[in-house]
Amino acid sequence: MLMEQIERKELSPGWYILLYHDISWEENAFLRSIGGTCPPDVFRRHVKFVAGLGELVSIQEGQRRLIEKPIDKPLFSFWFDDGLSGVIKNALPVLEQAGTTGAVSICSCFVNRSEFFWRFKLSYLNSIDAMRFLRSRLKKHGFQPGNSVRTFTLDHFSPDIAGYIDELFTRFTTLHQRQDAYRMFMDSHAVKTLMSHGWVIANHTARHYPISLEHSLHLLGAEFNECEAAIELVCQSPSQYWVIPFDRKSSPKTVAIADSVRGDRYIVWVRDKVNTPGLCNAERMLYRIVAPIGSLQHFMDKLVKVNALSLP
Amino acid sequence: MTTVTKQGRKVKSDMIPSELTPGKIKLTGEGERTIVVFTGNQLRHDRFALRMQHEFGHRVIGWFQVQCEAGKGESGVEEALFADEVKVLRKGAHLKPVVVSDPDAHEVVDQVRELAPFFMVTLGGAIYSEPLLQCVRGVALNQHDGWCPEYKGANTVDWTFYHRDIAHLGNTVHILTSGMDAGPVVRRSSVCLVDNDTRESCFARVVALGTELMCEVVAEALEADEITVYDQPCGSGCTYLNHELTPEVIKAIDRDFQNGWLSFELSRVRRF
Repeated sequence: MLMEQIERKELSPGWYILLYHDISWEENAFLRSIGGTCPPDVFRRHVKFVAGLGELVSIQEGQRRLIEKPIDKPLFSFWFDDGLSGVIKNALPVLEQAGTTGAVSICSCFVNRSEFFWRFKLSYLNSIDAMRFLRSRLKKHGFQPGNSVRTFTLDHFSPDIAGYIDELFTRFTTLHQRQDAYRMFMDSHAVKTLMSHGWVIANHTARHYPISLEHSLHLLGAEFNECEAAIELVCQSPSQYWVIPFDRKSSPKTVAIADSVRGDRYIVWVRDKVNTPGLCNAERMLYRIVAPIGSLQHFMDKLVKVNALSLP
Repeated sequence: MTTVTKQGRKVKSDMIPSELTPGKIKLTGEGERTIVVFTGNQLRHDRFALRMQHEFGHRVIGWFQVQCEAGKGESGVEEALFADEVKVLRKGAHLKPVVVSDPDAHEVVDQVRELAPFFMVTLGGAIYSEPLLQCVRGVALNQHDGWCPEYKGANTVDWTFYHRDIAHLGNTVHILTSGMDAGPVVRRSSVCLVDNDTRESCFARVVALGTELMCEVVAEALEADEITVYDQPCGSGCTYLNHELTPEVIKAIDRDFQNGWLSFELSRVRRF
């Protein structure tokens, strides 16, 4: 892994927004079953690598180029979902050294320490072999032996299911643990610090419920608005980007509902696509590419694949 | 929190060791809360001392670097993981290391006594003597590249691999006592690994994690009147000795890595 010789392939012009979650040496029980944490050395190598493939730009600069002129080379930006504290600790200095900034999508309940991320609770329950208690509760919602709890809880998400997860999480943790677990998320002070360093603070809903899926679409407006109020309080300005959580099975209905409540903001998706003026400007949407965490070869292969699928 | 699996195996994987009994240690020393750092002389040790300086600035008043044989950790791996970061950290550092061969020598103890640090923080290097620890006004802390109390002593990352016990691959910050990694635990957590990690890179990552945990612990303790600690029950877990890591043990671990054990294990814990 350490002496990789990667063939740098040429990528088409466009704005490549790379999506990460936490950048940390730590992957504790709340995170491990979910995955997606990127160690700082791997992130540093990604930044160095894409700097050699094109130009690193801030979100604001990428946006400006998308609107104002044709993009004539690959541009790269970095986006971090969920507001995890490794971003300020580890990603901020790396991007500062590279002369750029990023964007972070926050969930207001995590920043305010009022509700812990339900997927992290699941990860914790999995790590202590407590999933069997949850599976027995999910049976009445149609859970069958052999089903994946990970998928089932997304596809059938409801207040009842969130309640079971919380009940078990509370049962198997102490108050001290639950309070301590919030250290994984940035607080309002950290959000302000990132903002003062020129980072974009984006709205990722209040609780990171799967509001893009058919069964929870009714929550979409309220969840974004609640987070928006918190962002305005912390940042003294509204957010410019609404980032859809769990963008896995979003339907045209999701787009329509998001469109009806977003005002003049951009809606941000995952979708593994390159942003080009034609694709993004008319509908005021941005797309991100999930950065694969592993070998640089894997990373390059993903960029090439996305490039091939996105561009004519 | 501890639960028992259907196979009867105890599973513990918290960030704080809640299966142990919590207690409090009062931080009562007068004066400024200054820090003295003791490390070994590899790149990971330099990173530790430099991160301390970066986080706590002029509160760090001494850095003693204990000369020891290279041993664990492969310098190429550490270069790949830490060199870029260390280069930047060096530019902002205000202290250079005082190189010592024996941290318990009279002249070293005298120097530390004169500095009268509130915190002594250590990564590798040695087992520290009682007279040295007594020079500390507040608390002495060590980061151990193993999950306490289960894995204490030497080469604990390797022993975790030998037991195929990925849930306990992590780092522990504990109060430094004259026992080997036996002092009360302050914080503990598990490490972030990637599919293509090697035995050596896993070790370097565990050390990097411990450095961050140490920064967190010291940051919390700088302003606090007391800290929460978790006593390690006497006789719990295992204390591994250097000579126990035989070529056969290493061969068994390497064989697992060659067979893709780590990658399989990481995907297994993410499947639920």
